[in-house]
Amino acid sequence: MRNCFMVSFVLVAVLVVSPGIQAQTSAETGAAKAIPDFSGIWESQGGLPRTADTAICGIQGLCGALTGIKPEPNPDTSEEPEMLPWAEAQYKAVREGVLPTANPPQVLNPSWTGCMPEGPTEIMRRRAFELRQFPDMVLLLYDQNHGVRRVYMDGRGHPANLQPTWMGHSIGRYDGDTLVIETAGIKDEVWVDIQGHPHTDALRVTERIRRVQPERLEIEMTIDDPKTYKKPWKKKLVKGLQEPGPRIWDEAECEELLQLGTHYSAESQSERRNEPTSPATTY
Amino acid sequence: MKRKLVAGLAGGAFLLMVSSSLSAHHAGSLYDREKAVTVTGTVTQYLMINPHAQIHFEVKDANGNVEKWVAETAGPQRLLRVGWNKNSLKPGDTITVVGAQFKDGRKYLSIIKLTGGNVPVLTEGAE
Repeated sequence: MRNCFMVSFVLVAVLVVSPGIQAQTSAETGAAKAIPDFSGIWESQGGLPRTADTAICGIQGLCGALTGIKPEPNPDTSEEPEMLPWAEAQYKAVREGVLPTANPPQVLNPSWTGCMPEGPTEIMRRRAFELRQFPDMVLLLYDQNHGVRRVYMDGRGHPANLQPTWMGHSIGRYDGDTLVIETAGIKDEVWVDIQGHPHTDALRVTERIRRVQPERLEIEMTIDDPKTYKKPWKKKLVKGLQEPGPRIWDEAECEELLQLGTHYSAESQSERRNEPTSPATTY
Repeated sequence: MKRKLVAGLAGGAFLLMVSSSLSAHHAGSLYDREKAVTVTGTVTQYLMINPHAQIHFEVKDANGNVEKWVAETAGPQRLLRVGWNKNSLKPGDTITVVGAQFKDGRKYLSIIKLTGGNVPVLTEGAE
């Protein structure tokens, strides 16, 4: 009899508590739905249309030139920044191929010559990435050289003594339907973009990411570095959603090319030793 | 309308007809953008690596001399999407490559098309 009473008590307790559990679960689900969903694998748009004639092209521009197939327009845009004199001089030197103040002379993007990460701005423009959202963090996972950006969403600021890193330190928040990421502490060696725009330790990058369509992500990137540019300037990037599936592959090009001795850095070392090499892979 | 690529296995190598209408639009840096070349040879090494897969192959000239060529194609990500894998080519396979050659005459090609081995033959179909 005592056992029957205990069983009944437990059953009643479960029935009473269950709605509470359900309500809590619903509340959590509701809260999660309030956060815009950016999860997925996103990649750049434009370039040669993927047809049987272009599917395995080594270099898209070359294929376009030789086949007559016209590339689809790249929707990405970039303002032309107004640079301070030192930055303009450095940018000009980079564009001409030699940066005499660097030791050793920096003739190309460090991510190519030295297998270094591309940095948060250029990798965001150039590479496919998987975006994953967690309550305290957003992860941006890139297919190139194991790139990762961690965006802290727990309300913290940038550390007081921020040590520069290749990807910088990112904090984020949601502003309505927009994910806002602020990044600081990016190493000087990083180029802002493939054109070679420089920066200093004053650089702050703000990305405003919106899912304007189910399969389209727009990123407004503001580059603010008063030691380098006369005023903040913007880039606008457009990404398309990849089909579901494991579309991020392990792209470890530095390791692979260094093993072959065909990476730019290996070639330049061989040139210094006056050794013949196969050509550096063209990007 | 979206288009998709359909891959089938090649029954054997066949020569590609390179259209004389291939036209140049502007000069390149390393490769000749003025004309494509077609080369048939035997695979010695196939490397499915980033950022561009490499195919090393040998070509015999009219006098029986062997020339060593290296051809670069798309990266593994793009190749995997159209049915290539690490077994698509193996040493000994006969391949025909259409591509742009180094302007200085060295035997390096940037691939436009390749047939032979176990490489998928790509056709287009409507989704």
